[in-house]
Amino acid sequence: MEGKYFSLKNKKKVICFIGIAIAPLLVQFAGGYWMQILMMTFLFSILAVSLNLILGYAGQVNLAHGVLFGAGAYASGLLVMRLGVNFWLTIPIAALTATAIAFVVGYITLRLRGTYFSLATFGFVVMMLAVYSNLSGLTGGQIGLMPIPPASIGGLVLGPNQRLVRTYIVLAFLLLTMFIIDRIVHSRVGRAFIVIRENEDLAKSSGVNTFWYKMLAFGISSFFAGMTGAIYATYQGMISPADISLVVFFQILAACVVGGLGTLIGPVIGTAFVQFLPEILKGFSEAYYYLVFGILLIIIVIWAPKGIMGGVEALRKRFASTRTAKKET
Amino acid sequence: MGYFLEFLINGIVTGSVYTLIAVGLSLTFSIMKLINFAHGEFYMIGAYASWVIVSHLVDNWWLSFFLVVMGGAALGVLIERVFRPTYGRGLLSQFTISLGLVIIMQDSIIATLGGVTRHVQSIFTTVRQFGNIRITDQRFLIFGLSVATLTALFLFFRYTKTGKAMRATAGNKLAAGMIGIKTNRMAMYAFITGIALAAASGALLAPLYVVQPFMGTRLTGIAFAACVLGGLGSIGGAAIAGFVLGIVESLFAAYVSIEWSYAAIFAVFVAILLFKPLGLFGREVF
Repeated sequence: MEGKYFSLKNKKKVICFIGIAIAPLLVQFAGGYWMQILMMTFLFSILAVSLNLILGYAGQVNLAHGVLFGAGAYASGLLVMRLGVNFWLTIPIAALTATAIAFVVGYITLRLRGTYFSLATFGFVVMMLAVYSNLSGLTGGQIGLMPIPPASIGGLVLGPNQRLVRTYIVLAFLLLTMFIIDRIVHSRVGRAFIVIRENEDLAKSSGVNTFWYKMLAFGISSFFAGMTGAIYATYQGMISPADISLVVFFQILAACVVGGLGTLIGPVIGTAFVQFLPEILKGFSEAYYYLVFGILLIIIVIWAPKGIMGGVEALRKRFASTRTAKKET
Repeated sequence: MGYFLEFLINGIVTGSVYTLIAVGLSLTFSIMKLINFAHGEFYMIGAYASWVIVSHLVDNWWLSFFLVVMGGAALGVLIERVFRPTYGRGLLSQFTISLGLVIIMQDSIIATLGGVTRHVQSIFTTVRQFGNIRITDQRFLIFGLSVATLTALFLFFRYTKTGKAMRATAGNKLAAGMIGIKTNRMAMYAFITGIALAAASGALLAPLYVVQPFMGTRLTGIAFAACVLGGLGSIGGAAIAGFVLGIVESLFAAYVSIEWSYAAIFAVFVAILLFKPLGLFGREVF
């Protein structure tokens, strides 16, 4: 299985991989501003890909992903700032912090289903945001936690001007996340997730412990959220409640929906859409670009129910069928 | 004690506005099982519309209120059209559309009127004294209009044909469609009512608070809390819960902590979801 996975024969995968790998080099010519956006695209892609595990595969609309990302960011930031822990050590700690909180939240809320589960996680979002902004002594309140010192790797300090290196590090984390999530999805566990999404009662009656599988999906996706939080905190040099507000989270969710739920590459494409489109539109109108972005978002959701990936798939099928139709005549 | 009563009355007054918003949200939820995270933004739009009309067009509060309500109703027709393709498609499409709407509404306000906070001058500034409790006329107006609206809605759902048809759609959409009720039109009525109510609340509360582009998000949360507390899809429950939340928030802010009052509402909210997922007031249709 492993050999097949990395085989060079799968041309599409190889082209995709090379394309993503050289993207930062190409974007470098466009300037630091676009590089920053590319880096943020990769970073939010990790969030979208991991959110997609519980959203698109396990079918649980979890709204707490954003605040758990925040938990990781605060955990890492506090450890680096107050205790002087090495940044790279704080990544697993941040990830495990988010997972631990996710297990508590999940244990409480995953007994509920569908809309009720979503709204319960929404309740936790509000509470955790209140904790972040009210425990001023610990988190810096509304202003946020800063300055978080930049990480360094082998003597090279990853300050804001080391854009290319920083982008490649995020890219490495993204590829790692995608690989792990892909392996999970194609395992026994992943099949259990999909059965839960399709029909929870059926899953239960065929012996799947739905509660614990949902907990697992919640835990794994939150693990990556916490990990991303740590990277985000050191790259931004600060973390504040505004970075993890509900609107920011909804952009991650929208990236999953727009890109294509339950696909591996969909959330990445969706994130690229959500991150780059406003910047491109900004070139046309400084005042109204975000407004146009909102309109385009709605149009895509209405016209492509399965996201960009679903739309591409539908187009390919249509072309394939016309081609075969031509051959037959 | 005098202060307690004043806090209580303030709580009831803000609660009456929460009720208006929550009832609107509950209405759109019960008819189409649709979660609209943009609902609080209509409140923001209503407040801004009221500010624009009063300070730039006509200096007549009653006329401005009427225009805001009518504008909200017209917006309802449009918003229902936006959501219509996603009926029955599940939460995620609707969440994304909500996000699009939030972006559109907040950004159109920021782009045209700027992000600065605005103040609407109340014209009902007379303060009335009852013993040692002081209440402004603005609060009387808010409470009176809210209660009148709620009563009117109650009578509408109870006795009119359209109201009954809406209740039937909320109860069972398929069956309602079978006996000839145009369910999509009922959804449109629900959106018209819901958004007009939210816009009216914005116009009513604007003189009490500052008006700014991000004021709606908090109200979305409160409306959801009230809906869940009252039982998702139960309009009467949402109405009672709106009052309860207003009072709880006011007293909590006064006696415990103002920063944690919003979070406290959601602690209650999660607790209720866990122990009574159908809310405090059972599962009646309306």
